[in-house]
This record gives sequence, structure tokens and C-alpha cells, in this order.
Amino acid sequence: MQNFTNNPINLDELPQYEAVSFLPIHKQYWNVIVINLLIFAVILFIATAITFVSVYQSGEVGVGFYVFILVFVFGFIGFLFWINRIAFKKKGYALREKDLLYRSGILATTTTIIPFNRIQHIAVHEGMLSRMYGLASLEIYTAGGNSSDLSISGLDKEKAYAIKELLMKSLNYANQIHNSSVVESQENDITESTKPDLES
Amino acid sequence: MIPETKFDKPQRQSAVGIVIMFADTLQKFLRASWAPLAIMIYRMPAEALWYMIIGMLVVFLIIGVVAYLRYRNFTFFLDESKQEFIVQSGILSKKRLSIGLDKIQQVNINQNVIQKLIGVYSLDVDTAGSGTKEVSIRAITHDSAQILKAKLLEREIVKSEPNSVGQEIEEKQKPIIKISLSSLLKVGVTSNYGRSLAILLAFFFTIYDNIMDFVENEMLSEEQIEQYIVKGTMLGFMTIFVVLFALTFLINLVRTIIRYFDLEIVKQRNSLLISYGLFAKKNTLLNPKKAQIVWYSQNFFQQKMNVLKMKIKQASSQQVKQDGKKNESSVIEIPGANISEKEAILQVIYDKTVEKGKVFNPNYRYVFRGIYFGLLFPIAIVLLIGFFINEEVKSYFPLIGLYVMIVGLLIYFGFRNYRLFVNSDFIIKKRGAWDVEHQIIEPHKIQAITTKQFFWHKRSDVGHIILHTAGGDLSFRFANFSEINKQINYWLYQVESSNKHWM
Repeated sequence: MQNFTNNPINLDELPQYEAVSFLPIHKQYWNVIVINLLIFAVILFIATAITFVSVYQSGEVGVGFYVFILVFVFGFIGFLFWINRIAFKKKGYALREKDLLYRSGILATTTTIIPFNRIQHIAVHEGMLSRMYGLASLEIYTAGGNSSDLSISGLDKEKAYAIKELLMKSLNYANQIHNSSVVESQENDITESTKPDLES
Repeated sequence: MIPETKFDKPQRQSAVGIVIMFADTLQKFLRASWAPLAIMIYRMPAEALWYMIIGMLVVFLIIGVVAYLRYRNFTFFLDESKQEFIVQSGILSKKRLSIGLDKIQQVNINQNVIQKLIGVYSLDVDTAGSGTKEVSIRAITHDSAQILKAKLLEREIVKSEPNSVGQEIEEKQKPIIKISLSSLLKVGVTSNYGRSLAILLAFFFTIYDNIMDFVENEMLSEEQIEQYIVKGTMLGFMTIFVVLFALTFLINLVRTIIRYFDLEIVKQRNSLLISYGLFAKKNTLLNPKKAQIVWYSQNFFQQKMNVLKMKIKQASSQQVKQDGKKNESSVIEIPGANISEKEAILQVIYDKTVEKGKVFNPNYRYVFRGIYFGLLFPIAIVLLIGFFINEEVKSYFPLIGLYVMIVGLLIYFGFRNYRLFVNSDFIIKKRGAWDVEHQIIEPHKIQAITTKQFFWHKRSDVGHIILHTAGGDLSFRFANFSEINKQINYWLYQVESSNKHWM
């Protein structure tokens, strides 16, 4: 009885997620983005070249057409670089005691908050390009399906693994609390296989 | 008195099960080989046909023997001490399947055409998580099926004690809900209003058309006769349209009735036992803790008839999402309940009365989307077509006024009904102009929260939020961003400081 308290909760004194300062993703990840864009640009150029050749063979088109298309393609690629640069700068993540936040978006700032005790599982993924720069992406899965799963790319590899360790500890801790406090264990965990034993 | 010990020793299916097994195997065989068989029959010279027939007979014989062996080797029983249902099968390679009773989510008793001829049923057992049924007993008598189903769903079989010989297996309480055929009809007729509306619109157009014709028709000149013929074919198309819509409407209605016939919900211990179906009776045991989102909706007509539609969304399995097929057992539909039955269900699921709390209204900008896509855009298109493409469309312009009125009303009521109600136990979202729906979730069911704010809304302090649960997302848009953020911080506090599990 001595430890029982029931103070009113002042909404204004709760930790505010909006006030969290977000850490940017690694600078070098921009290189990965650039390489991906260049690959796309190359494909686009090849397609344009093929169109040019076939149009040229059918004859009747003036120089203006080629110039226009070239300007358009260059402009489009330039636009893509610009947009991706802005998106890259706006990406950020933050780690609090009890949850993880991720922010992104150009026109709209989208913030996703995942409490640690709702994480289903975590994976660190090192893509081919990311690996070249010592980067990795942290993938966090929740029970809310694809819409609430988070993938933070462009993290320093060591940091990604460190965060994963930290989250795993919180996950296990949360699970332990749950297991000991739930009387009726109806753990129909979906990722655990419910397939019965097969004894041949 | 129900014999309690009927299933505690391994037993086979009904003997006539051999026929079922035979039919099953034959069906599989035919499915696999109909193409090559057809080709062979087509190309075969007459004499070889005899060999063909003999070959088929041999195949049938083999299938028959296999069916017999399969029947002999298929046994099932209920292990009360371990609380498991055990099925053993296999001729050459033996397979033993044991399913914990608490993992069983659904037990269905079905009967296909062949089974009907013979007079047996099949019993399918479905566990949580995968989309396919785990166990399928193909030939079992009706009584045995009912008893077995009851035992499988009950989870805790009353152990046979000397002084409880006279007890029933379970104490069935009175059903919370019994949906009558008339309720199903009422709901079926008043939903899918989109289709009914389309029929009405089509009718309206044809009648309007004909009236205009009649009014304009002073003299029957050649041109007017031509026009009339053209309009006649238009009328023909319209009637086909109407008939099609009426057909889809009727088919949907009949499907709803067949699927949810005799829907009954019984409270069993702390769970809800829901059974429904005309031809294939389905049974689902719902543990209230597994409910993620409760949804119910009612429109004007349904209000007058005191029926509504209700859905209980449980955690949907990720595995099934990969398959691409929707997991039927993750959403439980209850069409045709009335208000008091809805309250009763809510009481069982949440163990407290669902109350609305603090209200969040949407910002007036909410109506913009409705105005753009519902009014401006379509009207602009109609005007363009009328002025530049097809002059005839101009005759429909007066209808635009009516359209603006109707859609305007819908937008207005949609805006007035769009609300988020929050108290410490519940989060309720209300929306809809004609079909007014409510979605209820509890704070500890939240898996993650997403907020979204467009940069042009920063100054007006407007933003959108999405609450993710294992049963789907609940979104609220055009909220007062500062106010809703305070609420989000509180929800995070609730989720992170409570040990309540979400399933």
C-alpha cells in the first residue's frame, strides 16, 4: 500500500515526441542514392537513344524534337537528383528510452513512432551498395503489418548493430514482464509456428 | 446423455468413408490427368480403345485399394490429459498430427454433394495463423461431428469424475445474438446502397429521357424518328444495365443470406462462440483479448429497422498476407444485429461500457477533398464533354444542380460526422455521411503511431495521424496538430507503461 500512488497525469508534462531532436542518417549514404540514380539515368538514356534511332529511321522529324526530348530527359534527371537530395536531408531518426522514431518526407513530414514493447522482431540488412560504404539498414517489424514496419537505411553499420542489441534487450525485457504477469498464457505468437509435432 | 468417452481412443471414420476417399482420390487423379487423357482418347484408333478401357479399370481398382488403405490408416482421438487432438494418417509414411486444443480457432462441419448422397459430413479444424485447414476428417456422422466439434472448441473437457456423471459437457448460456432471416434481409437490402443507387440513377435517366422526348415531340419528322430510334437503343442499353445491376444486387443478397444464415453468438466462459452458415456451418471461437478493432455501421434505413452491420477484426497473420489471400478468420462479420445486441457484444469483448470521451473535430479543410473530387472535377468533365465533344450531353446539364445538392449534402454530413472520441480506455473514430460507421480500439492495442503533416498545414496547425493495430489501421485526418500530439504522447505513455498485452 505504501507504494501506491494515483497522481493525476498532467498531459503537458508528458515527454513530447514532437520535441525530440532527430539524428540524420549517415552522410555517405548519399553516395548510395547517387549510384542508384545514375543507374536509372543510364537506363533512361539507353531508352531515349533507342527511341531516337527508330524515330530517325522513320524520317520526318526535325532537330527540334531531339533537342526537346534531350532537354526533357536531362531536366527530369536533374529534378530527380534535387528531390532525392532534399529527401535525404530530411530523413532522421531518434532513440528514446522506450521507443524509436523515424522522420522523413518532402511535401509532408511523416513521423513513425514504434514503442519498444511492440516490436516483433528486428533485422539488420546490408545491401550490396551500402556495404561498400560500411552502412546498413535497420528493419523493424511490428504486428501492425507493412504500414507500420520501419526501415531505416543509411546507418553506420556499427551503430545499426548497437541499436539492434539495445532493442533486443528491451524486447526481451518486455516479453519477460509480460510472461510473468499474464495468468492465462495464450501466446499464439504468429511468427511461431503452430504446426504440431510430426513423429514419423 | 452425451457419452463423454467417445473420442478418447483412436477411431476411424465411418466405413462409408472409403467411398469418399475413393471419390476424393479419383477427383484428384482426373484433375491431374484430364488433359493427357483427352488427347489420348482423341487420337486413339478404335482397337486401342479397349486397352484404354482396361487400363482405366485397372486405375480405378488401384484407386479403390488406395482408398481402402487410407481409410484403414486414418484415425483420430482426443487426448484429454494433454488437451490435444491427435490425428494419425498415412499408408507408407505415417504422419501424426497433434494439435493443442487451445490453438484451435475454427471448426467447420461441411457436406459436399457426394457426402450428402452417402449421408456423412466432413469436419475441418483450423488453427490460428495459417490459411489452410490443418485437419480434415472426410466422413463422419452428423452426431459424431457435433460432439467432436463441441469437445474441440470447449478447450477444457470436463474430466469424467464419479460424481459428475450426469453433467452436460458445457453449460450453454442463452445466446447473446440470434440473427433472424428478416434481419439478414433488412441488412442485405439496405447495404450495398451503391448498387441500389446506381439502379435508381439508371431508372431516373431513362425516365427523364423519355419525358423530355415526349415533351419535345410535336411533330414526327424523319429526324425525330431517327433520334427516337437512337434513344430506343439507348433505352435498350439502359434496361440491360438495370437488369445487370439488379442481378448483382440479388446475387449479393442471396450470398449474404446463405453465408450468415442463423448466425448465433453464445457466451462460453470468457469467449464468444459464433456460429453461422446455411450449407456449411462455420464455428469460430473468439477470445475477446484477440479482438483488435471493433467496427459497426448503420445507415438511415437500417436505423429505422433497428439493424446494423458489425465486424470484429482480429490479428491478421503475416503469413497469409504473403499468400495474397485474405485470411477469412481474421475478420468476423455480424450482419443484422440490433442496437442492444451490439451493446451486449461490446460488453463481452471489453468487459466495460464503451463510452465516448474527449472529442476531436476535423479542420474545415477536410471538405476540400470531397469538393474537388466529388464536385468540381466531375462537373468540369461533364461540362467539357457537353461543350466540346458531344452536344447531346447538354440536355443533362439541369441534372447537375440535383447532383450538386446530393453530393453537397453528403459532404456536409460526412464532415459533421467525422470525429475522434478519446478517453482513457477507448479510442473511437466515427465517419460517414450515409453509412455512419464507428471503429473502436483500446489504447494498448496500438502497435505504432504515424503522424503526417504537409508543410502548407504547418501554419494552420493541421495534421493527420494513423494508429496502427494488428487488425488494421485507424486514421484521423485534419486534426488540430498540437492537440492531437498531446494525445499521442499520452497514448505512447499508456502503451509503454502498461503491461497489458495486445492479444
